Amino acid sequence: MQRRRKILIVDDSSLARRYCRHILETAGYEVSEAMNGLEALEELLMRPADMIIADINMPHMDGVTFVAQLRRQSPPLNAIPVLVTSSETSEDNLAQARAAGANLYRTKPLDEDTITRCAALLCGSPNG
Amino acid sequence: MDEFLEQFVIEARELVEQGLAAFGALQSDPRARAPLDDAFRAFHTLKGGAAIVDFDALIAMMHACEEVLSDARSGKRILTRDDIQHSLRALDQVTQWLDHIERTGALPPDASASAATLSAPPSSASLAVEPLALLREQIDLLRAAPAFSAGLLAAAARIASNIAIEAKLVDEAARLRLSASQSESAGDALALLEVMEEIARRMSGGTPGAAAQDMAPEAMSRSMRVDFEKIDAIAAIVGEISVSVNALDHLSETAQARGDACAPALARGHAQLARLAGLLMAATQDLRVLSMRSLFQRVGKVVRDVSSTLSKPVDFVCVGEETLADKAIVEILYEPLLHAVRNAIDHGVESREARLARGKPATATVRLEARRESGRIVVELTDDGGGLDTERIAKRAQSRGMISAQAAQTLTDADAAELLFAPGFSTAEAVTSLSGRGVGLDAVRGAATRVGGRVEILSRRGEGATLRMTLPFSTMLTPIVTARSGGQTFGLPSDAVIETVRAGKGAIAPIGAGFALAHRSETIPVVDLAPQSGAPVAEGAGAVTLMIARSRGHKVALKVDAVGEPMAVMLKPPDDITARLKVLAGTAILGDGSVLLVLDLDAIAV
Repeated sequence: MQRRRKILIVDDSSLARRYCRHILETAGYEVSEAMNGLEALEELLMRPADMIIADINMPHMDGVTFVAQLRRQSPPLNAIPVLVTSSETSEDNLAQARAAGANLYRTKPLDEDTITRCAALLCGSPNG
Repeated sequence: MDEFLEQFVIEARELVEQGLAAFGALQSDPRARAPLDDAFRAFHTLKGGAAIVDFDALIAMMHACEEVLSDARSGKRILTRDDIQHSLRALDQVTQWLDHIERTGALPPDASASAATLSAPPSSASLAVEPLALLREQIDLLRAAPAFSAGLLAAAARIASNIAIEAKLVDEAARLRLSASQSESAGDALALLEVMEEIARRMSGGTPGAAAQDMAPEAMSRSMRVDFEKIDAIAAIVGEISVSVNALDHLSETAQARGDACAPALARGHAQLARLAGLLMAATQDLRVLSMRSLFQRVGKVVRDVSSTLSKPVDFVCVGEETLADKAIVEILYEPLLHAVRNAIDHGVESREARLARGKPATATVRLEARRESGRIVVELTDDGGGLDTERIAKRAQSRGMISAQAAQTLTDADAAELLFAPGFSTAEAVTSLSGRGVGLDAVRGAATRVGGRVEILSRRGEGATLRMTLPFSTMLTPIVTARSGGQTFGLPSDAVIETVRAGKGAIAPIGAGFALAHRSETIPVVDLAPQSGAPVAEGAGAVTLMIARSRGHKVALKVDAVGEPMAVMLKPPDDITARLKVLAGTAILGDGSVLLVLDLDAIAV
């Protein structure tokens, strides 16, 4: 498969999105962004992604709700691997994220290594 | 200024504004939902941004503010005037810091100080992204999932597949992708989980201890792991219950014949029990049912290995891998299919050059199909090789004294196929490491007939050959039909019996050393059942009863005194003693406690 892997970043902080984008693009991935869960779903319906990194705390539709909605979509959308991030380390958030169907949960800020390793294992290397 | 720092300042100023607006509203109503959310998120996002630019002091301060707001949101506390003032002072401090950054292009000098009165959040060092740990996380995730989610399953499988590929477990990765694309229910999820656990075991060096840690006692919410031995134990008891119920039937008939007053009640009781025993038997059979999937995958692997070892490109086509059968049946199929597919590629499939010369595609096709046909499982392995080489088989049989020179000349393709099933037969000039020593096919047939099934080879010269195995759906009960001969009652596998005829003596004529029946324009050899099994021969004149059945691919007419009942019995394979009677497929206990001898028709000498 020659297509470049695409990763969607969902976060209401433009700084957080930019930071993540920088790391992923340097590693060779294609990146798209959304500001909250609702926007993310709209974006995905137009252009599916190979992996999603979503923050939990967002207005309009938070990360947990977003993941739950994602898993209810039809294939291939429902099968996209999801990494949920949060500045929180609360057990509650972790449990909710898992129950909603997130594959991984990590606390922010994610260092460069973590982001690139997660990308490699969740959606493979940038060029497939 | 660093581009991230620049972005941070821009965003932070917006967030401070957002916070100020929120606290403005909260001053009038400290419990208002929306402002509480906005304020929380302002602090939260500021904290996140601070972490990205390594502004520790801000992280600490924002964390403290965020906690107060979080408690207020969840109702654990109500914002006091002091809380609001404290928050406004914090936002003020943020503004000053931002001004400093804009002026100097760098963080303030006390940025790294953890002098905050409230402790900084725990180190934001993320959990390791180590492949094996990640895989275990996925396994745990699936096991703990509250409900079946096809999407989550597929996502987890994809991740596991990437991990497997990185660990160079390419086959397992392929199995994962295949399983993931077909998972529709919690049952399928179990198969997927097993593959993932196997990968985890292999990655952790295959130590049993590591594997044990992976197994949670509960699987996906709707199903359980149960050892096969436990199910087999239940199946054995259910079988014995069936025997007892049959005994009651016998008793009921006796009571009826004697006109006992309790006969009607007994009959009703037996009918009820028989019905329940039947339901129990069906439910137990259902527990032991597996799909052909793992079997097909094993065969697929052998195809790839053999194809590569022999440098013969082969396309492997699977049909019907979701077909279900009793676990014992699926296990019976393993060895024969693996052996047959090796043979097909080794002997059946021609070399690339030969194939191209014949106008065939260079890549051979091996097709494995499984299907249900009225209560039976039919499994066919077909190759598009050269088919059976009848001349070569005839020569080999002749050189081994199995057939005469004349018979070798007139050997038909069908007869040649049958010869392959003879013990010790092999046409390989040399025994290769792959194809074994010619003990394959007779063992294959033996395994099938022992459970009341059959095996055939169909060959189309120049085009290919098909190995067809027809097996009962379940080994728990074998359908048989009884027959009396020479004072003895025998059981014959129903599957093998084609029809029963009454023939006048004139219909039977001597042929060679035996007799044959002329029936529907066929000549069928007659076999007197009695001498075969050691029972005394019954003398009789007049019409005789013949059961036409299949033996080794041919028809035979079995001479019997009377044909009995069809019934389903639990067939016990021959033990050391009864195995001396080569014609026995096994024994079964009847309702009256007597032992029924069930015959293996393929072992009958014609």
